[in-house]
Amino acid sequence: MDWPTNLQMLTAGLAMGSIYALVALGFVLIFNAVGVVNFAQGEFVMVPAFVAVWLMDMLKIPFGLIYLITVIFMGIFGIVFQRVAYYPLRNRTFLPVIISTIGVSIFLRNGAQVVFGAEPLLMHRPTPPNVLKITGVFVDPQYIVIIVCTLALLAFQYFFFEKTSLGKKMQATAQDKEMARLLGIRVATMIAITFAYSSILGAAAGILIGPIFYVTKEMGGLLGLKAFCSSIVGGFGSVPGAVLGGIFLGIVEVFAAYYISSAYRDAFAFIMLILVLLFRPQGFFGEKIAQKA
Amino acid sequence: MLNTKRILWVTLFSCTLLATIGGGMAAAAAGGEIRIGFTPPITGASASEGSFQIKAIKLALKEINAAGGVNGKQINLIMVDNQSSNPGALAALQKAVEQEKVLALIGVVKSTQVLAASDAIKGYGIPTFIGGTNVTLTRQGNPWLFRVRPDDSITALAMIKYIKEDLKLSKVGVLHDSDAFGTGGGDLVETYAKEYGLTVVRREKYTTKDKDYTAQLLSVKNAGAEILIAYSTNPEDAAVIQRQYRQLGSPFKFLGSPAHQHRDALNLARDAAEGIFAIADFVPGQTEANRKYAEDYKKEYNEEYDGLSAWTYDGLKILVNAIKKAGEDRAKIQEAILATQGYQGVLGTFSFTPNGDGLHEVSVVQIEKGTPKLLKILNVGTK
Repeated sequence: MDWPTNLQMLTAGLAMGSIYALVALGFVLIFNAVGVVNFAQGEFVMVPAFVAVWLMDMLKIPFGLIYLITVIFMGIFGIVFQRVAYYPLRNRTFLPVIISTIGVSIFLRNGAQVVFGAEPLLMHRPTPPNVLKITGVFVDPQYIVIIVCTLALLAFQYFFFEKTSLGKKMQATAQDKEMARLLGIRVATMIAITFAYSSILGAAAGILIGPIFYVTKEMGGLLGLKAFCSSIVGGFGSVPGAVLGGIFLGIVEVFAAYYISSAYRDAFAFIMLILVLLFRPQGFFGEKIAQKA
Repeated sequence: MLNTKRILWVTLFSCTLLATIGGGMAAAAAGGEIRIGFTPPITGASASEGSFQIKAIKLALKEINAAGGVNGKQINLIMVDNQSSNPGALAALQKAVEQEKVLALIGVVKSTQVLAASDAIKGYGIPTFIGGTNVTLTRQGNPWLFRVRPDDSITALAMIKYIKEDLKLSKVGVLHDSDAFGTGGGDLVETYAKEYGLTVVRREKYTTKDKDYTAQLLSVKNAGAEILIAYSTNPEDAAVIQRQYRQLGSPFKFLGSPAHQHRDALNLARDAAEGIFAIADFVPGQTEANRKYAEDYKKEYNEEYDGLSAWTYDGLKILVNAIKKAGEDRAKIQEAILATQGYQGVLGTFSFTPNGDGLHEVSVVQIEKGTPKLLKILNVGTK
């Protein structure tokens, strides 16, 4: 075995996988809360990336402050999105809502082009551009930041949902809206908070990958699709499934590109998707749920 | 919005048409005119490119007519919109030839539109200048097409020649976009490498807009490549590749397709692009003719010229020179164009082959402080 090469690819795979996991989590949380797939999830990554770049160019303030503003902006953005794209249609079937999220996604992409132009933009790095050489492996510090931040976010999320009253209310809403309402939980507010949180996850992903991906209006497209695959591979609706599915997909892609064929790199995510749907439709972590009558 | 834009264009177009016809008529009274057709995209998806092409060719027209025209006659340039489409290109050609009775044509830049109009051009037997770079355009047995930009094969050949003769390396890794342009380039690189005795130790691909190239770059490195030829289509992808190449510790030398020295790529890659080699169609300001064009263009339009549109300027100049020698006979003009050797144009030195290819040189550049610095103009000769 060629260890430096494999380790190198493992780092890249973990970093890409972490990003897929963040975006996939956004999908799953919204799906659990309102039973709808949000097809604008990829744009939840693109918008904060543009906002952060714009802030960096306009204001000469520290990175931390820019990230904070971006995160707050995206929290509000999530609530507005919910109000515009979901709330008016909440009593309809899932189809109008899905179409509405697709509509918003198209609007955001083209809106970004009108506001920020068609040229790709450069987001400054908080980390040094030079790579670290660790035991023969070259690692981009930003990759380490991505992995660490994702882990921290997951730990925070676990604490939030399991240990805080607000988190428990959100979980209750996701599990059974009717019952939650009977118990006096403000369901509409919980749903709004869920959207805000999903959108903040997108902000985290956008800020983390901005410096290595460059910022374009199309950056959310493929990312959203891969994250969607991840959440299905992990088991749609399962939170650990989304995280592990994302990381799994990120690693499989890199190794398959190296050992099998780089031309079909992007295809491997979708091949995994088809295999899982064929042989384990509930995903790795999903529970088999009989169709409710 | 679209409508107002269209109306604006049509008005503008009609005005220019009237102006040129008016100008032509005045000249016609004096000593007659020579009608030359031009089929740029005035409406549709490529309208903005079209506007640059029009600016470039009008500069040539102005200079030619100001210098007394051709053999005592003024040039009347007839513009017909190709609507940015294949059927539009064909219709524009027919209109220019049948209604406007033009003597020769400055055609289109999109390879697919050239192919759409090629049979009709052959049928009319009308000398037509094109800007499409797909290799096959001038190899389909149509003697009336004249290409005034370097074709795609020249880039690939220049890469291999430079690696063999100047860098003196022999083990080459190839990484290319899996779209038509990248795959075509990858194939040519492999063919020429074999011809010149270089070994392609590894050939890797990627999908447009991929973001992580670790696997491909490591695979090239582990195959023992001394230099990587990166045949990218888009500047954004090129920038990501350059950065990740740098992050892997630049384990081999790097020679990129023109996308790698594109302004967008350099703006994104910044330091990571320093020192890499790339191929450019031409480097602004590399020749006297090029510098003069840049100045005149700036004076006329108060803006920088567009590198992808300057071919219409060179095309019209070469055509007019041919008419000067041959008179107004299409077959003789064709011979005169093919006889053009060593003409100093904006894009480089033109020497036509029997196929109708005018340019055989590209520039090898190295990125220095964020700008492409010319190392060598590589003439790959007439194949």
